[in-house]
Amino acid sequence: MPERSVTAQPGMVPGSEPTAGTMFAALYGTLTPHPWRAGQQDADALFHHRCLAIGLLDDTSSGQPDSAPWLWAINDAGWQHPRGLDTGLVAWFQVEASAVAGDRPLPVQPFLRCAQDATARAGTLELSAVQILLPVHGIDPSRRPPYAPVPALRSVAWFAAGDPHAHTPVQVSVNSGQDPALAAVAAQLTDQLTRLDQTAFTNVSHDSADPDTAPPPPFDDSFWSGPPLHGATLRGDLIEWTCDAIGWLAEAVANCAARLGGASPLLLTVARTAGHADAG
Amino acid sequence: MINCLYEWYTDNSWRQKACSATKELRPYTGSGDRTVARRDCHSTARTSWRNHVDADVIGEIDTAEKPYRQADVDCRVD
Repeated sequence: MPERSVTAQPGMVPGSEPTAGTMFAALYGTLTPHPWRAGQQDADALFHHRCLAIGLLDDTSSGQPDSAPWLWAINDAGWQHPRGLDTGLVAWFQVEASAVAGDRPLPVQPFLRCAQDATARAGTLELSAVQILLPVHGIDPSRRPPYAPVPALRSVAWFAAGDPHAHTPVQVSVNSGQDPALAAVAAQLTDQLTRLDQTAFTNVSHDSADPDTAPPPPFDDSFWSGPPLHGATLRGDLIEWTCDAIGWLAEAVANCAARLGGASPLLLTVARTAGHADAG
Repeated sequence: MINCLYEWYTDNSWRQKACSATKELRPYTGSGDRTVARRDCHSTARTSWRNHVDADVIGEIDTAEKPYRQADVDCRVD
């Protein structure tokens, strides 16, 4: 066995492909298992196969010569709260997001699409909130080309074709953990979201006295810069209560936060304050 | 079946940090058989990890091959 250096430190293999960072999604609400499912379906397996099916999974680490780089690599997923708490959590998914291209958003929409599809395979989901850890530090605003300063805007027209009665009032909690930066720019974040040429998230407001009612994240503080000490609570109307729209909003918030100098992971929680539509 | 997590060190070594319990898995049924190795992170510094899987196929002579997956993750164990 080769001798190991006592001064060696953990690190990254030289020449590693860059990644954006850890993305984590927690779905809250109720999940009624499908009656045809005997036993529990493995969340990780369902998520893995769904991501493969729609071509989103980074499988390069499997060492196969013909595998293609995609949007993320899967770490884990589950139905139970990792710390055994009763918070209404019904499913969680953890991935390592690949490096974000200059004209693409952090891929939160497809991430939540896979997460929701995997969950819907196990049961009927009634979604009350979605919590996402966003690796904002993996976004480089200086690499945004002039035609895509906020890449999420390139897909926002999708939502305009939806049911005009599906607007849902939501509370959006954004937290930067121990990093006080987010709270300091909450007003600018609200202003940037308001000024975007979009109709997916409207009537945006921020009140510093608005209490943060987001559930505690289902992962340990060491997983990000927790605990969630510094944040802001926004309110607004989401164009539809779907994981797609929530993912779009998360992409826009992550981009705006990066433009405002955010360099820490952000914990984003979107909860509906009045229900109109089912997730889907 | 057992899987172990290895963290990369700057002396170019991979050091074992956690292993799952040994578990007998059925052929894939989609019903949730897998082994899990976990460690808590001490910091969120980007670090290279490998997950080695050692499968012992019942009734067959195993090869020495141990497939692994490698990923850079915002998790460092000192």
